[in-house]
Amino acid sequence: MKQSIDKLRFNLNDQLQNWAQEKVLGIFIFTIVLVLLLLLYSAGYFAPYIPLTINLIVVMAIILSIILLQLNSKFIFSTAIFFWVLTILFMIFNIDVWAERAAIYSFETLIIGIILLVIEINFSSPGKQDE
Amino acid sequence: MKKLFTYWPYLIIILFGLTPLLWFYKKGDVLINGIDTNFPLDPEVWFMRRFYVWNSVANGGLDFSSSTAGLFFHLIQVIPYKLGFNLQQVQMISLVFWFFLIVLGAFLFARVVFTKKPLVQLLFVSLYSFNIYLFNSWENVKVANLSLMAAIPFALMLLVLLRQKAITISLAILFSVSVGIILSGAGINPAYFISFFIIISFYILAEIVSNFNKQFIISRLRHLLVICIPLLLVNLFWVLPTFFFISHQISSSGSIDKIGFTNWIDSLSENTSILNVLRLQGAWDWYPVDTQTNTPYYIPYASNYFYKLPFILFSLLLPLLALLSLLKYENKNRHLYVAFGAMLVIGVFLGAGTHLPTGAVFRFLLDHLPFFTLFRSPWYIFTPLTVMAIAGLVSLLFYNLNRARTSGSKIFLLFSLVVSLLTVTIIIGNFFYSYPLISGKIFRPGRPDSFYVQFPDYVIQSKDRLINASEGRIVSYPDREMENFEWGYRGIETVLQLLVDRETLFLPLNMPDSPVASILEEFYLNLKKGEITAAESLAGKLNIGLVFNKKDQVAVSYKLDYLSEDYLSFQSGKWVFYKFPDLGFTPKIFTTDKIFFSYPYNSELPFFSALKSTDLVLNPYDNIVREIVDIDKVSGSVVLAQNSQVVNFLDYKKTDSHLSNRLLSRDLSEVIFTVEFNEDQVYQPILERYRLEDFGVDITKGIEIEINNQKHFWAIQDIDDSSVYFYPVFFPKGTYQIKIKIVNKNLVEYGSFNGEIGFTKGGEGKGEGLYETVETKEQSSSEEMEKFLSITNINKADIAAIFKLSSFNPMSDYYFEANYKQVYGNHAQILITQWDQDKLLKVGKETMPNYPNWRVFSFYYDPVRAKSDLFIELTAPYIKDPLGTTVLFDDIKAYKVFSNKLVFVNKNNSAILSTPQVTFKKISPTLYEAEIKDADKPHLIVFSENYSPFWQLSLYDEKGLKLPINPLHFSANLYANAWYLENTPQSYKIKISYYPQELFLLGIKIAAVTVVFLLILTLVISIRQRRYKV
Repeated sequence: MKQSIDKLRFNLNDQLQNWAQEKVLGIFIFTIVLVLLLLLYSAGYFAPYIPLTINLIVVMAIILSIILLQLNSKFIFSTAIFFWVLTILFMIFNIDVWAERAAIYSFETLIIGIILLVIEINFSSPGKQDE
Repeated sequence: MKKLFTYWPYLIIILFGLTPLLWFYKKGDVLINGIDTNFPLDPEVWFMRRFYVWNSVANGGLDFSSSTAGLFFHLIQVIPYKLGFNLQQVQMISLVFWFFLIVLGAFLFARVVFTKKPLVQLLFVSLYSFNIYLFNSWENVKVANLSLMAAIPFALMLLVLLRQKAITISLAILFSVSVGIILSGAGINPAYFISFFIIISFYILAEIVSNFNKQFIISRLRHLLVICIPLLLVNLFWVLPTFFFISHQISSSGSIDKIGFTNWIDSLSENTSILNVLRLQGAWDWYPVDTQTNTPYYIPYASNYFYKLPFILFSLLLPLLALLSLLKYENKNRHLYVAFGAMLVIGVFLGAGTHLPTGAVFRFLLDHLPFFTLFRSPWYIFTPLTVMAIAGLVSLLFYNLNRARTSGSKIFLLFSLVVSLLTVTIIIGNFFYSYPLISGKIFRPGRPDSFYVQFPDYVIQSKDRLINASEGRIVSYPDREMENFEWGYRGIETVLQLLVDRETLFLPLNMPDSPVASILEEFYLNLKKGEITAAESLAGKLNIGLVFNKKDQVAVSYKLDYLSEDYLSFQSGKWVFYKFPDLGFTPKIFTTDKIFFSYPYNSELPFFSALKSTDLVLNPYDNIVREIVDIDKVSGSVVLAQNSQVVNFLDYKKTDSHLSNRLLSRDLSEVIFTVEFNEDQVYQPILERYRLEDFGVDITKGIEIEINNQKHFWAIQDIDDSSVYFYPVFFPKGTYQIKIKIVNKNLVEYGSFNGEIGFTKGGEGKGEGLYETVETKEQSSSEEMEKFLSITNINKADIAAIFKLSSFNPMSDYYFEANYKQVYGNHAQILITQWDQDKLLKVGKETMPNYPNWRVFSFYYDPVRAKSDLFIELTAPYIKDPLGTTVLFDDIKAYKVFSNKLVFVNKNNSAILSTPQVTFKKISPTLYEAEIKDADKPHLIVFSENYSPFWQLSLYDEKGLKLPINPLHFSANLYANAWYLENTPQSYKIKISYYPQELFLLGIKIAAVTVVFLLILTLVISIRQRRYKV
């Protein structure tokens, strides 16, 4: 059992390492942009002309993750599910405001996921389409 | 047994469809009725109304184009009714029919999408047909919602079958006609009809983007047209007049507000957060909560969904499963994932309405997309998309999991069993989750606001007597905007509409500012004040023939004391009908030679009670009226003077609450009427009589006045119960200020605290505090000592000195004034409380600013117009500080606002037009025929139905040949239609018709031809196919 877990861990580690090496530039830009956006947000930049909110940053992060990290729709839907699970947890603990916020993130992620799904379906190989 | 095994899903579907029968189980002889439900007590009457695009039954009539869409819905009621079923059975049949239709549609769609998986099919049916969205639809039996929900799966099924080539085009066309008939009810609110097309368009769009090739696109667009065109054709009967009405009468921006309807989009969107919309919990009536008990006001079961964990978890589980389904999509069904996914996104976005964050985009659409404001109830209109999406995605998840069983190994069998168990668990869980829909709790049994109503016998019995009672419109009383009978029925319109086809008048909730509503409000005020002559005059303007006094209505309004037994027409139980006016009503079509230009001319200030019932009031700024040659020579004028006390009161009411209009003292001992005359004329001043004696005006002698600071005396010519008529006075053109000195008594006894004690101790703290009348010179202008009241409150609740207002008259508005000084502690307060014995009707609370010197503070109060007592509570509120609160009060005053109207009437130029004899017959709500005799001069014909440019008057000679005369058509009496006719024969006939009815008839012919043609075509094709096969 322990061996299996170790194997799984190493495999995961390997896969993550390979993926990180492939996307190192994307990860770098993604992180920089995200940090920058958070700094601008905390300093209140662009207000009141452009409302740079956490909501907007989350949306931008998801879009950037698709462009820079080439994440697929499954990952985006997983993120939507993650946010929805957060919503459930917040609801259980009666933290309604956070639950609402998590639901909004989940919905925004879902929108992006659906658009990405449509793109993937149209740009996937014909062979796959005919499965 | 084998058959049972094969057909068990069908049996379950039948059981699902019979759900409405449970709603009546052990409920007795009740009907589900009230508020928006409107189940007719005579289904035939309601059915017949659907053949006309003008409904003359309510408040002077209104365009009814979209409501004709309810034809099929009411046909389902009228068939069993004519077959002899009683009303409850008729309702059961109707409800079962629609419930079964939704269930069947969902099942048939599920059968073609989730093939060979009956459990998944039932799961889809369960989620689609039993959900929170439908609670509200069924609660009010909303025809548009139910028709939409029933039609969607049928239409999608046809699209799937066409794609699979499992159905011929001709058969699909024939079925789409049936879908069109089912959908027709959605046209009652055309936004729902449009929502249907959004849904099926998204479905097709999803298919196209999932399989992007030219041939496929053409094929699917063709299929879309195959469904849409016949569907549209059978709906043309309401589509043509409705879109004609919308395009001609409704502005493309701000549409709802401009047609006078209340635009409640923001209040409806208050609780449509994305979280709530995704859980289908966006209905506004779930959320108003009693702050003390924390229980919902309207929806008793809503608290389960708010606070009970199993309900919360289930509400979140379904969206979670829907999201999970997107993780692993089956390539064969990828179009379904895209379609349901897109529906979910669009459904949630549109359903959230103006609720942020997506509300910003929605508001942009409201502001910039033409006619988008017609979607004023977005959650109700667009949530069918969300319902379909969640049901579809969850079912796809289980369909996928079921199909994962590829080998017969034990693990896979176990997996299959677990999936099946999960499916069943969710179906059963959904039934528990939707328990109000199954058990009938949605109709709130046992509560005062229950929809289960047992109509008393006298209601049904009054039907025949109403049909035979005297003509004219029936005006309902009490005048509350909502009906609330002691036997349980509540309605936003008059209950008489359910019973008979009589024209009625009541204060409309939907269009409170309509001209008819304004005149009606004035009429009610006249009745309550006992101004019978004025009420009769307005009754003539509104074509009133009967007053319907509902003695079984729970209301705080005045009793109709002024209508004696002499007026009684008939009584049925607690329903009393008075013939009013007692000398007979003014016919709906009449002619008059007395016309008056009204200054001002707006519905906020109807003041026609000073005129006779057949006197016609015109808009002096109406360009069409001005086209009449020498109109000024044939018309008089009626001018309303501006009452300074009313102006001050209205200014106070209309401006936001702020201190600058409270920290001052007003003089109510005089009233200044300002009036402007456009030409030199003789005018008769007419002053409203109501309680002039209370203000020291002696109506037996005449009154002394000042006109532009010069003293005059107006002698009285005549008096009736409503007005005082003075002798006519010549006024040269100009503006005048007419001042009348009145004796406005302070209605607070001992409010200066110099004499006896006039107050009692009270408040929440039961008066347990220190009340002292203190002598001082500070307040006095002379050497004499003055007294004031000091209240010190170290109690843990507010305490007050309470004065009862002497001779309180709820028909008047009041002005209050007090001097106060705050020594320390909390802010001083004055509460005005209005009580009907032990029932609190209204509280007005004024909190004075913290100020350490004596200061005057004043404010107005408009009471509830019901018999009651009024109290002034000078309050020293509680504060935590151990020193408590000490506030000082002095010179408490209360005055009545002198709101009597002063009108100037110039009759000099009237009586030049002729008044031919008119006899008419109402053929239908959209057609009237009349005969005109002795029309020797130009004349007017008045038609007391709400003005619409589409009312047409055609003239015919006595042989029936059409005369080439196009009379001028304009509005009169604020709401009615009038035509000016000249150069007519002495005797002729007219037809007054409503043009959009022609479009309805055209539409219904096209619909009938379409159905017949398609039936024949299908028959021919099927015969040919059989021959071919043979």
